[in-house]
Amino acid sequence: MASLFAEQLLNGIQLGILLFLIAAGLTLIFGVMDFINLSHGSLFMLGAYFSVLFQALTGSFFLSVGLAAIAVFGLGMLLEVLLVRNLYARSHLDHVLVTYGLILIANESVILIWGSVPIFSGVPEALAGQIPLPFGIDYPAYRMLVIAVGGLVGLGLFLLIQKTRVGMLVRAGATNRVMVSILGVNISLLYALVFALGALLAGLAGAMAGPILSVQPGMGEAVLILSFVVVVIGGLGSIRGALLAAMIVGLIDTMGRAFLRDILSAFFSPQVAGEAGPALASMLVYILMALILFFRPEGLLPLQRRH
Amino acid sequence: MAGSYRMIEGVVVLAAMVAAGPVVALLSGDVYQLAVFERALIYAVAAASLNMILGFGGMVSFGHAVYLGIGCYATGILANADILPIWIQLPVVMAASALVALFIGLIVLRTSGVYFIMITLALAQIFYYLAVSSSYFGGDDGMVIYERTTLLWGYDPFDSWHFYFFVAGITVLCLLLVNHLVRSDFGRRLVACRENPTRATALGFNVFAVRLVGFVLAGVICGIAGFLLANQAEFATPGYASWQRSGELLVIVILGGVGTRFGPVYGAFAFVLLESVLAGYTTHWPILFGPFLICVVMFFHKGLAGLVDRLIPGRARAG
Repeated sequence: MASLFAEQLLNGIQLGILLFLIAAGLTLIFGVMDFINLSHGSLFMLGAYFSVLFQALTGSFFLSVGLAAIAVFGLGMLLEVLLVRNLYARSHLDHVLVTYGLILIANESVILIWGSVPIFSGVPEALAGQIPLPFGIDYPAYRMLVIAVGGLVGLGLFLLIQKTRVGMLVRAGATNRVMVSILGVNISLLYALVFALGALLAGLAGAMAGPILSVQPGMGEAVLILSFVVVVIGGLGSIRGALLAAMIVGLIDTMGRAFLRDILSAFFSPQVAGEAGPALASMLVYILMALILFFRPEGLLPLQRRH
Repeated sequence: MAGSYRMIEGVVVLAAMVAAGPVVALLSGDVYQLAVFERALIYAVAAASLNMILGFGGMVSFGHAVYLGIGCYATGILANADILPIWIQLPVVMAASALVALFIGLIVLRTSGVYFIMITLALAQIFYYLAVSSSYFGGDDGMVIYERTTLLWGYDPFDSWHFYFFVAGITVLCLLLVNHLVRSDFGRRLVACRENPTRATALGFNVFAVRLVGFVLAGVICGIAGFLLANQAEFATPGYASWQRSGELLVIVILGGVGTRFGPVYGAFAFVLLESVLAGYTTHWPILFGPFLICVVMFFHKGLAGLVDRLIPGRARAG
């Protein structure tokens, strides 16, 4: 029981890390550009597909993950320059319609190129085994690597945002967009970089999630909704909030699915528990979000915004 | 003068909307074409209700399909219990939608902006998973509805023409009701609360109450759309309450033109008909539909309703 609990705990952290990589880009794009990007999940999906493609070309898993992330970075840059930058001045509803259109295009392009059958890319052989952890726990090596890489990227992102000049501009942009442009910063370049950086993170998350999930059209949407939940719970535009919320959502979702049924069966008949358990587990994240927004409408760690 | 112009425009749009299905069915000699137009009409009702709170009240609900689901399940459960008269079904559907909308509204109306969008989504998801887990009503697989609603002697719910005009009649009534609400005192209060809540409060309106009434009314009307959908599809599935469906409703309203009188009708017809026509040519129709949506945003102001306005001489407005 204890080892099962520890394993699920790690699974929750791993889901949280993937959610953080996606939500970080989403929250930055929202915070800095005030842009609602529904197609962010599609970038996640494309990351997974590009990784499969590059793996077939290069034969190296690690190289393909890196190449996929770079490809999605380029795609994000292209998207920003050609389309998205014309929309910043428009209403949020226009953002919703355009990025919904992008989701349709992305899903359908993927179906045209790779077909609609899910691809199971599989864990690279070197990482297929389990690694022993303290207290006699065995954990899949690949998932451990995802946690490690995701954690490192998250740390890098944190340093980039908090310690570098570009990061300072990004933070300044999220706090007061108009002032930053008045101060003579090349705001359109900054926007393109933020958008492409968000795309890179989503693409990286997709490439790493490929072997864990099945790679299929529409895989971005399920993740997108969870990431939006993370962004909103954390507080819009807040990277620290996104990290906290991603961990909470990842853990609650995973633990709920693993243990809620058993917990309920201690109080109710097995039939009731068997039915209510999975349903309640799926709802948990949304119940949590409704509660948090009810008591803290600005999210857990809101930015101090000035307009 | 302007009033009579509006009236003529309204009659023309509604008549064209109702006549489109029969004309296509008669010309093609295929009564099953009516089903496509029935779906367009049902979506028009749902979108009109969303447009009322979104376009006039400024409330961007990302969970509006939940009432579609409630209406659909309420109808299905009654129908499968052999309670078929519309005089019982419709009031039950409306009461159920009103209760759910009241519950959701009391929570979500405390927030605004993007938080409002997400909390409506969250609550709708809770209802969605409720439907998924209710194995008694078919759970994930949904529930077949064996009997359609009965109306009067002489009305045969399984006759294609009878049923089409049943759907069209209720659609017209709902659209007239929404138009009336929007133009009434209440509609102006709704707009006032969107434009300037502080001033509306100063004028003595209870902003929260005005919004809540609008939210519940929209839920009830969308519940009626769910009632029609249950009859049309003869099936109730959690999918009707899914966030994808809520997203589609938003897309239909934005595509048609937010806060315009007939935008939801244009949006619903464009969405359903384009989908059905494009799907006839290629299974990969979204790859054509996606760019179409993007073009609408990039090139038309106020969606398709803006385009229609521009095509009618003398109606083009600045801005």
